[in-house]
Amino acid sequence: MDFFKSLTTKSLTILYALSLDKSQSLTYTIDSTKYSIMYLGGVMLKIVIGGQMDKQVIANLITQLCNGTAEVSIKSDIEAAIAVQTNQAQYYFGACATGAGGALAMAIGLIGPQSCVSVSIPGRVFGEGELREAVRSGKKAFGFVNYDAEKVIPVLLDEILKK
Amino acid sequence: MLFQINALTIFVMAVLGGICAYLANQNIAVFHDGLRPMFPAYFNKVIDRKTLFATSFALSFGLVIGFGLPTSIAGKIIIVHTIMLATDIFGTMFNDDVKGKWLATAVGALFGVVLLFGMQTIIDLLKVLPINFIGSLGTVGSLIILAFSVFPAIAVAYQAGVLKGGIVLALIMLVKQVTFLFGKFVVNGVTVSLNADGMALLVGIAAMVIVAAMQKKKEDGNAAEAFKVFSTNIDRIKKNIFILAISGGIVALATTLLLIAEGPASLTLTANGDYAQAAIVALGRTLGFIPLVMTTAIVSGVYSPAGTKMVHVPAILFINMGIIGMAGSFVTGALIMIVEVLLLGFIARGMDKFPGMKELGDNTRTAMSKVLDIALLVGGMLAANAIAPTIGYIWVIGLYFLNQVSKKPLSTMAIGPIGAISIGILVNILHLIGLFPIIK
Repeated sequence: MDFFKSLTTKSLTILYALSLDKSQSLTYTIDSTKYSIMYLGGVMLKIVIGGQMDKQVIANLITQLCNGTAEVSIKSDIEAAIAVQTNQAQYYFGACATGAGGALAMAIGLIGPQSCVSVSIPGRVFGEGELREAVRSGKKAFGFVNYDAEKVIPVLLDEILKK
Repeated sequence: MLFQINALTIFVMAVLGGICAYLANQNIAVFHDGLRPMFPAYFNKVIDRKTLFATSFALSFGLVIGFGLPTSIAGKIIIVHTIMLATDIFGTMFNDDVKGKWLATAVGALFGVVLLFGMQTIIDLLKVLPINFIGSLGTVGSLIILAFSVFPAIAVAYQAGVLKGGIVLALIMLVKQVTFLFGKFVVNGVTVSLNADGMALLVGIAAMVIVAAMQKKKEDGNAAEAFKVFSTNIDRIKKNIFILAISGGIVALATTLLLIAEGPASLTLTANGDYAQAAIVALGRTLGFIPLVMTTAIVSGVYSPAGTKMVHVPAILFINMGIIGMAGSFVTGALIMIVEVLLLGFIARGMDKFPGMKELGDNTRTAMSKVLDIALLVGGMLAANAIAPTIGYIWVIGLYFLNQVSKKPLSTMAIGPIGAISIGILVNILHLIGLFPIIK
């Protein structure tokens, strides 16, 4: 609250970043001055595990790598894709045997192919440079072959956490 | 290969390849579940035909070469991916105008025929090698025949935890053992013998469906709401119901003629003559694929040339029933396709009503995939050992781990068949240089 008191503007909107579960705007009254605080989005990164295979394994790996800086939740592929589509989560990870069907299909359908990429498919796994570039270019949903989870996730997360 | 090459099978392969390429070219149906949702972006001109083709090629080429061909050679029936992933590529390769339409259809038809002769030629070539290992390749699928009935227990474990999964596992083992011991009885002088693996599969799948149906509805289901915007896509698919019905009929007929099989498990069982079991396995796979195929169809307006794979189930049962079986297979396949397309709207609206069933689909595909990974790997090891008892196991185990390290890894499922085929070729090379004498 000291932070707010130190501000002299009578009415101000603070671009407020909090890791709240639900987006909400708050109003504080300090010294009879109303401060409206607009929620913009959480700094706490939210990652959803959709796709089909090894969801728990992937969630554990991501939770461990994020070391408390991200909220990881397991959902069905549809619910997970909707979460990213409606900005309730920032990133989607999903695995299946082909890295594109059960892993990513719903995300491609709901979020759009521009935001999705299969970083590993039978016959090809993205190299480190390509993985980092995928994150940098704004991809939000990543599909991969379940066996390649440990090859792609650490690099993707490292780049995501740099953002 | 198990199919015959005659006027009928050549015709069916040509029509199958042609119609699938036509469907892909006209943006009506593609086989790869991951390609389907790319189409709205193409319809809205966000991506062009070249990008669509590049995506299709990237997704499917490795699977055709690395998974489709070796699995088909080892199993002696063409696995459907080999032809339909290729026709996805041919269909998207050409523009969806009048000229492109006929070009794609022609290339698809030609590919079907080339595949038919090509597969047989490969087998014939392997047969003339000094060390003939064709017989041992059958061993690759031996675990599927004896152990595939385990998959429902694994699906249940994913869905409802290790305890329920364990109970279903015990149940499956009990059913198989009891049927094996007491499954033979005489009714009115006719001996009826129940197939132990078939019974175990049936009980397992039933248990799996019951567990899924018992699952409580989640409160925050909003999938049906999200799917409302896609109703025009469903209309788009319905508009093409006639050609999709023909496609379903042809896919079924090709299955009945032993030309194609829907998956590695039903392929092996069909090749082994266990048609009832193969049909049950195909039914289980259909349960797994209904949610994936239908949801991707709804979000894209593009269906699959084989639908939810249900068309294969009666088709397998029509094998060896002569002309009536072929006609029956075609008609049932076409009818199933029509029913599937008509059900799309219902599925979209009921998305949140059966959360257990959607999850069951995901878990069934996962369980089948994992069982196949192990069964085909161990089967491949056994086959390699039968071909080369000194170095067979070493080769396949080595190949498995080299593949994991590789930057261009093949499907794990393909390592068994590839390992067995490659050791067969390797021992022939060793034989030529005197390192692998034939012991008689």
